[in-house]
This record gives sequence, structure tokens and C-alpha cells, in this order.
Amino acid sequence: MPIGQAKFGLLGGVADLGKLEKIETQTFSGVSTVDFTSIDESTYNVHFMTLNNIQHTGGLDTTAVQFYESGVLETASVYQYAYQTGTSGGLFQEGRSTGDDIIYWSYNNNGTTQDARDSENGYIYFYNLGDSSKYSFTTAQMCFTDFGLLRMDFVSGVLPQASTVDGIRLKMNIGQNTSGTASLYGIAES
Amino acid sequence: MAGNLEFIKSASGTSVSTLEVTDCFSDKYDVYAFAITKVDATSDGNIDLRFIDSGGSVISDAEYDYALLSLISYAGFGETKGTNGTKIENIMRVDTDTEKNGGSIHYIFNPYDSSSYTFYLGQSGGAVASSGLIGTKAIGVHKSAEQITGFQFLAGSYDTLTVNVYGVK
Repeated sequence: MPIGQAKFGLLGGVADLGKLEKIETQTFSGVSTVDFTSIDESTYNVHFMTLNNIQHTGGLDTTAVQFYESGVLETASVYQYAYQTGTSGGLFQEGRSTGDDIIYWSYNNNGTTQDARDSENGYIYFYNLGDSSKYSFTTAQMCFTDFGLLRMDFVSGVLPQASTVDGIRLKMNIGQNTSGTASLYGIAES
Repeated sequence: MAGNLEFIKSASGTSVSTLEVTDCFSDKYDVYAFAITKVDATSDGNIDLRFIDSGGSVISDAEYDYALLSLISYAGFGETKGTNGTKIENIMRVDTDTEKNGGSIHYIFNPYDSSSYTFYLGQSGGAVASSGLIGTKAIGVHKSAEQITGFQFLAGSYDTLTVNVYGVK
């Protein structure tokens, strides 16, 4: 079964087509935020997201994430993350924060005002979103072009609050007009 | 790009220091994924990994190479590496505080092929220690061409440890 096919709504309880189960795909343009507010957090302990051809058409920006806790977006500087970046130009460096209002997925990506071919692609895992007794974690691997250089980011991040996360916001940190596609999946446990 | 994950089995232990996941690799898949979905630890530390051979024995010979980057939110990153080790070390950080433990995803390549080494890569959200987050990105290899049928977690003390194994189609 192709990765993009959905289980829900297609099966009617007849057959199980796989354990990577699509929740939602959003294709967007001209936005600075993208919300996933129906994430089936009580069904899945691990979520998986793909980002495809993310382009900041307004200029320099970064793609990041915030979480909804019981319907309320957490915007305080409580998120922690650490990322390793590397470029085809030979620059490798690390970054971190113990108190930011976002978790970065791609740091300082160039906008298409500099190079129309620049885009971001990658995948992200989320852990424990629906478990109110646990912090919510994420790991990501991004691949993108930045000022003509190929660049990768490895990211670990956490919302260090034991809460039920029932929504995910993709946030363009500077707020540039952005286009692309994001797909969210659940990983079934049985 | 993988097309799908197919659930193979789940294994869970309570009040354990090791957890063996047996008979999860076969000739049906070349690539496998496993997710550590629940960890409650009784001591701070790291989960280590060993493989299990076709006879059901845990392989503890000095046949493992590994390299790992600890992504730390409050300090400079750490490197863990070794050659000819007896295990793949530190695939996930754990903490005694239940709410501070995250999850992780790991991949195993060619375990059942007796003519190939078995390769590993993984990433973890890790845990939030007293000063902040410790995540990981890791690679490893078992440098012996033999058939691998399962794996073992060790080097910890856990109230609960749960892992789900998938074949990657």
C-alpha cells in the first residue's frame, strides 16, 4: 500500500492495510502557520510527519513547531531543542535552547527571493503527544538548500510539560508567506 | 522510500533490567523499524542494544561498532563511539522521572541475511535530565555475517519498557 493511502474512512473495518496510518495531508501556500488539530492523539503514541517542498516565498524564514495542549496553543518560552546542522560547503555546527517559544526544524533557511529553487524536505517523529502523564518529544531530519548550499538538520525537541497535546502547529518563525505540503501519520501499535 | 510499516510484534517488560525481543526478523523483510514507546526507569542512564542469533543466544562478542551524537539542549553535544565493542551503546537516554522520558525510532538493515553484516541507525527524543533535553542520533553495525533473529535491550533498570517492531515494505 502506498504511504499516502489512508486507513481511516477507507477500510470500514474490513481489512487492515498497514500500520503507518495517514491522518491528514495539507497542501498550502501564502501562509505563515499550518494547524493540524485532529491528530488522533488518543490512538497513537507515535506520530510521523513528512514535509515536502516547503518554500518561503516571502524571504528568509525558518520552519518550526508549536503544540496545542487541550486546545490551547502553547506560545510561552518553554520549549527545548538541540540541533546539529551540516552543509555541503563544509560547515557543521550545533545549536540549542532551553527556553524558546518554538522548536526549530530548519534553521535560517533561505527564502526563494534569493534562489527560487530553495525548498525544505524532511520527516519528523512525535512521541507521547496524547499521554497526559508525559512530556511531548519530537525528532526530525530535514534536508534543504540554503543560499545554494545543501544543508541538513537533525533536531531533538521537547515540550517539557506533562499534558495532552491534541494539535500541532507548523510555524514560520518570521512569518513569511510559505507554500508546501505536510502529511501527518499515526504509527499503529498492534 | 519505504511504502509502509507492517506490525510484527510488541514486547514489554516490567521490573526488568533487560528485555529480549525474539524471532522478530525473518526472510520477509530486509529493513525493520522498532519504536520504544514507553519507558519508566528506576535509574537514570542509557539503553544499550545487542542482537540475538538464530540459535536464540544474545551476541555479546566484541563485534559491534557504533557512533552516536547526543543532542543536548543545555550544553555542548557529546560523542559516543567505539569499535569492537560488546554492544551498541546509548541508543536512548532514560530518566527516573516518568514524565521526562520520550520515545525513539530505530532501523535495522539486513538482519536475517546470513551473508551480510547487520546495520543499525536510530534517533531518540531521549529524556529531560535535570538540566534539560538529551536526544540522540546514532549508527551501528554488527560486524559478523550471520543470521540475526532478534535483539536485546540492556544496561538499565526499568519499571516498564515497551517496544513495537515493524517490517518496512
